Amino acid sequence: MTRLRLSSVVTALLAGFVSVSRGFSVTGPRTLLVVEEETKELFQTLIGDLEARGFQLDIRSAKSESLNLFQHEERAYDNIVIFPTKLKGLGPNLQSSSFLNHATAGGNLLILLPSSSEGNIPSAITELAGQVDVFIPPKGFSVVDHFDTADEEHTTLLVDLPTFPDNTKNYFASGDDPSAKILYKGAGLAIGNSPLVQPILTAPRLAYSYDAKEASSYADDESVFSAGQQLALVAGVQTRNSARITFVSGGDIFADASFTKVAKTNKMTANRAFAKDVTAWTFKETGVLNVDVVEHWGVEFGPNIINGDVYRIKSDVTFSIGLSEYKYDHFEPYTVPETDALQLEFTMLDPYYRIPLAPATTKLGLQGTYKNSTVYTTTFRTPDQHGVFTFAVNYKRPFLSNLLEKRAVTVRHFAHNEWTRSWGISGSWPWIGGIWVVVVGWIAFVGVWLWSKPVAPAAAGKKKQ
Amino acid sequence: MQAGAESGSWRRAQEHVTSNDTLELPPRRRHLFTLADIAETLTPFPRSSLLSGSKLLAAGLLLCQWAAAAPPSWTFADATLQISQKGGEAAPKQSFTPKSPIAGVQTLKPSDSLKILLTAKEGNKPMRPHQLFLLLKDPETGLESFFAFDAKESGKARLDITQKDIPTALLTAPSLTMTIAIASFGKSSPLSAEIATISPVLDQTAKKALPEPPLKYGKRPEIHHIFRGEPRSPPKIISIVFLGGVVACLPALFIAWFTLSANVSHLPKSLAASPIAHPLFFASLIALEGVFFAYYTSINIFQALAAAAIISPVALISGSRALREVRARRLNGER
Repeated sequence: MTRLRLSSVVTALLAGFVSVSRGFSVTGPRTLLVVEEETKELFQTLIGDLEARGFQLDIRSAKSESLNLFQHEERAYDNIVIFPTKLKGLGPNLQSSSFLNHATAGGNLLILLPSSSEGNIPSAITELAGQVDVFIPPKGFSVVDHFDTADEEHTTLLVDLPTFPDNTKNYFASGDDPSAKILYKGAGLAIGNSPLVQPILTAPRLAYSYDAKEASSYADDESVFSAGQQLALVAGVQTRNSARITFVSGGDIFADASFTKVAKTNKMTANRAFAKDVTAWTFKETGVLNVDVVEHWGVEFGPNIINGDVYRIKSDVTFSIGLSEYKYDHFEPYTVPETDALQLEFTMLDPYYRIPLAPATTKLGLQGTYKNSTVYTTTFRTPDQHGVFTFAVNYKRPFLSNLLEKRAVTVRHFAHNEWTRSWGISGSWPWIGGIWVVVVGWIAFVGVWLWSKPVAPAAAGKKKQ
Repeated sequence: MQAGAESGSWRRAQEHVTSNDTLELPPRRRHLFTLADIAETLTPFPRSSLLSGSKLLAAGLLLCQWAAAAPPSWTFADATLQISQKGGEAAPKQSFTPKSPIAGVQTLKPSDSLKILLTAKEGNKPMRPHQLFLLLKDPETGLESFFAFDAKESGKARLDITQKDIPTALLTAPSLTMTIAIASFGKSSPLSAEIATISPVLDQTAKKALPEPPLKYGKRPEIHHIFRGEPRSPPKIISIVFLGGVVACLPALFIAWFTLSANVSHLPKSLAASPIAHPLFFASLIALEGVFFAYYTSINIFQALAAAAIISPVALISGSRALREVRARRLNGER
């Protein structure tokens, strides 16, 4: 217990130190921008916004020979942004494998693909996308929407801010104006069925991505890449180690030229706020969960004995976990959406329980010291099976960093003096009664045997003689 | 981004969509403005009569242009839907129009194929649009998939669908709404019209062939441990009756002894003969039973052994003395 308290204090101190010295992203501030000089001019606002949020930018050309993502086998950068490029390849230092190594080491990646159907997509990017279940259409594809257009070519789309089912937190519509539209032009993406890949922005219902070169007169089955809600415009991948890779199929969505007013509605586009949301999520300024405290105790003894090693079968146990969520520069209590549930599993090979944890109303034990977390708790009865069990909270949700918290405890059998006593079992009453009848009868027999006076001693004497 | 900006179209798009001066409308986009938009352009300029006059005129002209040169809208005609069974007879063709969808729910069995024929028209002229899609939507989940028609330049289009073409996520839906979307580049206004509702019917083999739905992160089904049943006892009344029977044996035993003339009449005599040994022996026997009782209820085996170790020598010595007195009585013929 003391060890726990000490380690948490050390962690808190360390976290404070880290946040002061390293900027505000959970991963870190060292950010590599792979961008050519002429492209950089078009993204001044995005670059300025990133700098203002505390990212240390290293702006390099893909052609730069000294560029290396790893130094002494350690990640050289925390975040990488690949801007649209005219180059067909990104060079020997920026292979798809080095991007994957970067993500494996916990680094984040934001990839802006060209908006124009003439733009090139470097093969390293296509390969990387294929490896994480994201599919980029070949060169020459373009998304059109004839039903709600912003230009006469129908290739510029006004897309609503993303919405998600109500069991998913929306990290991508934090702008002031919820009705603002996102100006978009690009080729779109298709995403696979992997749970690690999530569409962030999808195309309007009647939009489609078609081969602009081959199918200029009619979009037949073969020249349409994807359409409608199945066509993602921005997609986010979160690897199992919670590194993030985001693909933006039309890079101009974040260009200075998109941060303007739309004539049709005479309102500012939502692009700048969306750019902030997407970069913040990708670089782990949002959607990062932290486990502040895990406590469990037997109801029988109360929270005086916290995080003990042994519980008895069929006894009530309370488990609680404190969660907080990172938001730009601080942790705040994490609230689970109402239709979602934080679930506790009590597992020995298979889960014996999978029950929801509810926000605690009173804080017990160490929990009072964690002001920035929501404490979720539940009480259940340990199963009638002894063995080594694990309290497991496995909380993996779209856009949230993966959370898997395990605590192993022994669940022992009843001790010999914990069983029901024999008199408590009504079926044993005749037998217990029998024992005591024998005891009393024997004592009485001893008395009679010791002190009985013969009734007719003369007769007995006669017989003897 | 260099490539995108240089392509020109993106730039032009920016110019158009960012234009704040509503009167200098890009002429090609007139059709996108409604009467309400135009009315709005009139209200901000009431002070300068000259300006407002000219703007009114401009707006009026615009309105005229808008009314006169209203762009044609995409539509379709001669549209029929037919469901035919493989090797069987085809069902009658059901015709529909953009405004009158087919009533009722069509069923699509595994061996059925669905055929839609239509002629796309721009205004009144048969024409091939750029987009001619059939959209299948599960209204419950909102999932939607599209099928591109096979269209000729004359505008005649045909689409054949069997269950194999429909994604499995939609196949398992109870009903799907069919929407036709016709649109193209240019000014003509697009059309999306709901035309029918279809319900895919799966047979056993088709159901077995369905793949497992993909893993999605989210709330998982709850599990609650089911405990083994508690050990059961017979009804208490039965136990009590039998307990009564057992306990009743004790008085029965005593009565039997007394009818056989058992008694304790020699007690005063014995006490007189050995006043210490007899009570001590009898008390130590009772005490030993008391130790057993205490062991049963509260004390542990070591405490019980200690107590027995103290009591048993007393029982042994006092017992031998007491039994010596009993032998003396026997030898006297008093037993």
